[in-house]
Amino acid sequence: MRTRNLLMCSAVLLMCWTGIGFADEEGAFVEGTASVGAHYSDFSDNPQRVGEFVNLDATRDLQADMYLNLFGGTENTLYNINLDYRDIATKKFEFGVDTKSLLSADFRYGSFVHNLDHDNLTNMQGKAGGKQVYNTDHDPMGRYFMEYEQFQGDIKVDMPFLADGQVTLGMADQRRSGYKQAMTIDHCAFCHVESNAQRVDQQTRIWKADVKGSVGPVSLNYDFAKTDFVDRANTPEHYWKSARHPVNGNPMDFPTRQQFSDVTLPYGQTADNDKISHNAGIKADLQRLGTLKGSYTYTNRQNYQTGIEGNFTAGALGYAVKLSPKMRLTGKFLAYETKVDDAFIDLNNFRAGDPVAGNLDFDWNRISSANRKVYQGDLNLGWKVGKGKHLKANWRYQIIDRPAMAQSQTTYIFDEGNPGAREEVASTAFENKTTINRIKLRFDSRLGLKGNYNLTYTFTDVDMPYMNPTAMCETSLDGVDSAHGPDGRMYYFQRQRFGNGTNQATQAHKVTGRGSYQLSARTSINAFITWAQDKNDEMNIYEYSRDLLTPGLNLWTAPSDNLLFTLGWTYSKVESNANMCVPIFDG
Amino acid sequence: MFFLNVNLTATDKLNFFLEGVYSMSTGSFSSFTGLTPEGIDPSFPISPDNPSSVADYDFSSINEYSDLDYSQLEGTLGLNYKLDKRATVYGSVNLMDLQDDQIYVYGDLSGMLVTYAAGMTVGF
Repeated sequence: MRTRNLLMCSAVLLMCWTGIGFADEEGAFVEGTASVGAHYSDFSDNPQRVGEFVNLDATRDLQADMYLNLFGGTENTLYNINLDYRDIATKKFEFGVDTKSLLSADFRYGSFVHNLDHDNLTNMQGKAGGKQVYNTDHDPMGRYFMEYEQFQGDIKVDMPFLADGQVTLGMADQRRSGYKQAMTIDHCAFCHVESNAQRVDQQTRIWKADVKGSVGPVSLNYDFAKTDFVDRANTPEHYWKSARHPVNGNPMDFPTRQQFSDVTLPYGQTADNDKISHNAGIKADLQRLGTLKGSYTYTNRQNYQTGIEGNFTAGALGYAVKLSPKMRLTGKFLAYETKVDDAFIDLNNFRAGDPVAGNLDFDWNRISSANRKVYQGDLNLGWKVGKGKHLKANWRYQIIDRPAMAQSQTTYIFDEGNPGAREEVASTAFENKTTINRIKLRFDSRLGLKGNYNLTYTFTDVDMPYMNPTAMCETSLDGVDSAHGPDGRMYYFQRQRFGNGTNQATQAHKVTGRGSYQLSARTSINAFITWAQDKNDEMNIYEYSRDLLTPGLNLWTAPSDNLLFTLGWTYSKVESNANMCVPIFDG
Repeated sequence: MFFLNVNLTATDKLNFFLEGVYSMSTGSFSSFTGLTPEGIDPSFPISPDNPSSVADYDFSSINEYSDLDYSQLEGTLGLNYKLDKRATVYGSVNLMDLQDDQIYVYGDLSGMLVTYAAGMTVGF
């Protein structure tokens, strides 16, 4: 097979070299590059990460490869063909044709392999004694990888009866297949971790239809897209053992303290879903009064496994005007809403056989943390302050209004003097309204005729950024907030975490500089640096900070006509902190 | 990260090229402080159901569990030889080498991949 490929490619190359086979009609032309070769790859030790995007099935074997870049045309038609064949799983093909009137089309196909890591679970092994985590890898020698394939095609048809009138019909087909590592957790949350190979066979198809045109100074466009996703691989199943006390093995009423006991269930399932989106836009050229733009977007997503539906609605307005020959002002306003259906989480009644402290219903209604209303305004001022010197200023004001940044879990308070009496404290949503003010200044300047540089400074002030409230650190067992059970014990669901956590800043500074200079006719230098500092000192148990420094230097030099060097250096350092509280198991 | 490209036109027909990228990446936590629980006797059983389960409250090495230290080199050395105005033959060796000096949960990821390539290119 490889020999046949190599012979066929060589024949094409020979035709290119000798010029045989190309028509020479009047006005017709064709030009390009063709390459035919072979390669052999070998590896030592572990090739999975170093060859992350190498098809390892094609190593230790001679492989034919080919490259073709062709551009041609006739009086009324242009076309291009690009082909890059590396091995059976690593290849690209592109074809485009433009008739210069009415019709043009582009088609692209590509495939590659992505090798994945294999977690050997050795960190999932507790010390002897007591309740401990342990692991079983049912596929210890498994090699995991994904094969990606994508076909994409667009056909554009002009509408000569409408200025700039054009209809675009497009389709994309993405496939992802292979094997990945899938894990299950058995019994108590971390007691037994098991690993298996999971087959993946996913397909995403996108269909789109766009239409645009202009009537006088007004341009209109409408874009429609439908996306569907399906995973055809069989969903793996796992047997969850009968729940027992993790130390003494007593079954008691343990099955009602777990969600799964003595049952085989699917896991690692990827839900089939689809998305439909509509986008309409308008642009009006008001001549000396400026330019006005507007758009509206509506997207609907359906999850066919859970039945949950999500909607995204957005509207935007933009206006641009020249205030003077050297000054331009633009303003943009954007508003959008994301709304996902609530999900009802149906849980087994806890300790169903315990009449005093049991038979507790922890069902709750999950409000998606993706739900939000966002309002954003931008003002941009561009000012030519001198010859070769430009100043840009941007002010952004944004409000993110979330009905449920997070939710507390359902819990119960017992009446210690009245066995069996309890009060349910229902799950509560943490509402959050984030307000962001951002100022950005950028200065661009030439350095004579041999160089240029720019400096950018950004300051962001955030009021109430996103965080995970009551995420960590419990009050002491003997704390006054402890809501003990009727027998004096504190149950897990009564533990009261109080620490908030986030990696979102309340204040952020960022400075970026970039410059290039031609030192001589044979040498030029380019340098850049980014410095950023984020901090959040408004949390209740720690202060978050993040510092970033990224300088870089590139040098291009040609000591002689025959010798060319390009050298580069980049350094990046990120330092941040987080708070950690260690939960002590069993109280 | 360092990168280097060198292109040497030795004769009208012969051209050598060398491309290389070397990167070093490290990641670590500083040592944790203040993690020892207050008011708990370390000799106290970790579980009241199992008196032999003595708690281990030593967190002094936890910060080292997630240390990362990778160095990676990718380089290509090759030559082109012009047969005539339109045709060129080429040959190259590509080396990819990864050294994993702090083994994480995926085991030792150190590995090396070498690819030898040769062929012919025609412009038309």
